[in-house]
Amino acid sequence: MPTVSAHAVSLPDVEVRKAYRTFLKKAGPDRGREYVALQDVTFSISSGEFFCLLGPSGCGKSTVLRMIAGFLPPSAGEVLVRGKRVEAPGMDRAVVFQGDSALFNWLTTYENVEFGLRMRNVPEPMRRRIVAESIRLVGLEGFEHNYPNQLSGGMRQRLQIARVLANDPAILLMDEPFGALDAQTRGIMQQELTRIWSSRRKTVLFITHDIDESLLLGDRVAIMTAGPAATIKKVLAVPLARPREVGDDFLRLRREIKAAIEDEVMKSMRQVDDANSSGR
Amino acid sequence: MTQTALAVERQRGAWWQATWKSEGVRRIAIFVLSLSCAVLLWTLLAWWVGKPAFLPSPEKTLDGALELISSGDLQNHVLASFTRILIGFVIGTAIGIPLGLAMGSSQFIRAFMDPYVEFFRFIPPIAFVTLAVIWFGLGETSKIVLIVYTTLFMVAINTMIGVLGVEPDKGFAALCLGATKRQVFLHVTIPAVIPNIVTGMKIAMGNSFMTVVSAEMVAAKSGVGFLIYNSRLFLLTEWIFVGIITLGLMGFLTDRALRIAATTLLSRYEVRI
Repeated sequence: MPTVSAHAVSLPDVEVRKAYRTFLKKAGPDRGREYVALQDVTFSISSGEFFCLLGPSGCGKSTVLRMIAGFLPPSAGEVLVRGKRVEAPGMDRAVVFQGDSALFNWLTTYENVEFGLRMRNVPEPMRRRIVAESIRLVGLEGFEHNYPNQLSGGMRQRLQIARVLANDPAILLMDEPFGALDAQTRGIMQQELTRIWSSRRKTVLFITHDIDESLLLGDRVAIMTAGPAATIKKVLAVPLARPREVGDDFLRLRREIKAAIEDEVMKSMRQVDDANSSGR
Repeated sequence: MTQTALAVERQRGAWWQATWKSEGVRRIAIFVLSLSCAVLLWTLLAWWVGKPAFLPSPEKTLDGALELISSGDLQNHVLASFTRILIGFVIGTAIGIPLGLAMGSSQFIRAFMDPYVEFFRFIPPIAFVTLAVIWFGLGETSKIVLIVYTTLFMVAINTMIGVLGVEPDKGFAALCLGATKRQVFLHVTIPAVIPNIVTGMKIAMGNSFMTVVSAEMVAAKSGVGFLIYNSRLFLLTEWIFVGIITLGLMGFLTDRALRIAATTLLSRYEVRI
């Protein structure tokens, strides 16, 4: 039997198989009823791939991420990370959260980045080296002793990225990390992320509702349908060379995605209208 | 006027303007003005009433204060009240923080404690004064127990509210970074809750003053509350005034001390009180 090295067989890093997720409604006229947020979600991300999950607001993109991160179990179906069923949060999957409520506001930039290493009892000299390198990689030198509330929004997202990079996870899960930033800062952060990803080659799940962002960053873009019972509508490969710019191919892909997503946005808006009128 | 004299004059004007514009100087000036107004009003009122046993003048009150200070009585009363507050406050905080953390972290403990919290919330410590005397006697214990009770309650509830308010994403982030559940509690929950604990302590300090004074009025041989209540027997109204002003100053000073301690020692936790 020919020996096949483990590297040759490229097992997907993340696999979501027929995942469902339901919630109990906590308010409203149908309180206590089950709400199906995700229905039959299936996709996989291979090692080193930059995978974007694109969808209208409120469709359950974050729920998918939270299931992979291990914060939330699927109601049915399976979520596998490197072939193993996800049961709890783990160090192999780092999360960059939406907004900055996940930063430790009582710790300085340096201490935030150091947190994971300190919890794992990494020896001090090594810790110092890794922290300095992570801070340099995201360009936060000179702000080591600032607290998060003394940083700008863009810097805080960089700090979140530095904090997870210091831990060297195999998989990065990013939940609309640049959603709250102004257009200019977002553009810079997208370039920076491409640069960091090129040098570190992590597997990335990147959640966004911005079509251009997904096309600038992703190797593949998965489009989600509007909730309830959201699922993956289509997965598109983005065969564009990096660094990416807006060109003919880019525009063609954008049109394609736009057409696919427009139906979903309209659908979700109609649902909001329905909900409003039925609530009255 | 010569040129130089004019220049000096102009400079002096500038100095005045600069001084007045400085925030600190202005605050102190307004403070002095506010205090002078009160003393003036008080003097006029006392003169108009004309009965020192009913409303002693500021001057007479000052005499009373000096009398009490020179005999050493005032210092002893202040020390007695402060000691009770401090001992009760420290013990109450030491029990209240872990209790609040437990209530915030465990649904079971929270549900178990809930009826007691909801019940005792409406019973002021003053209501327990007589009971405390029956159970713990006229000595120090009864007063300290009451302060422990009021402090413990305030600190525990505020701590619990703090724990319930910690963003879940902070804990998730720590778990993703390799922290154990125990580490999340020690290194995320507790630091995140420190501002709430300090708020609870601050409220508890105010309540401790009320409690100690009422307890000392009912059953004590020392303390500022005793001074105020006992002075009525001799119709020494100025001593009552001395006691009340002393209480105000004691409260002001402890509050300042607590604030300075919290903002310097705990500045990284964004304690705002």
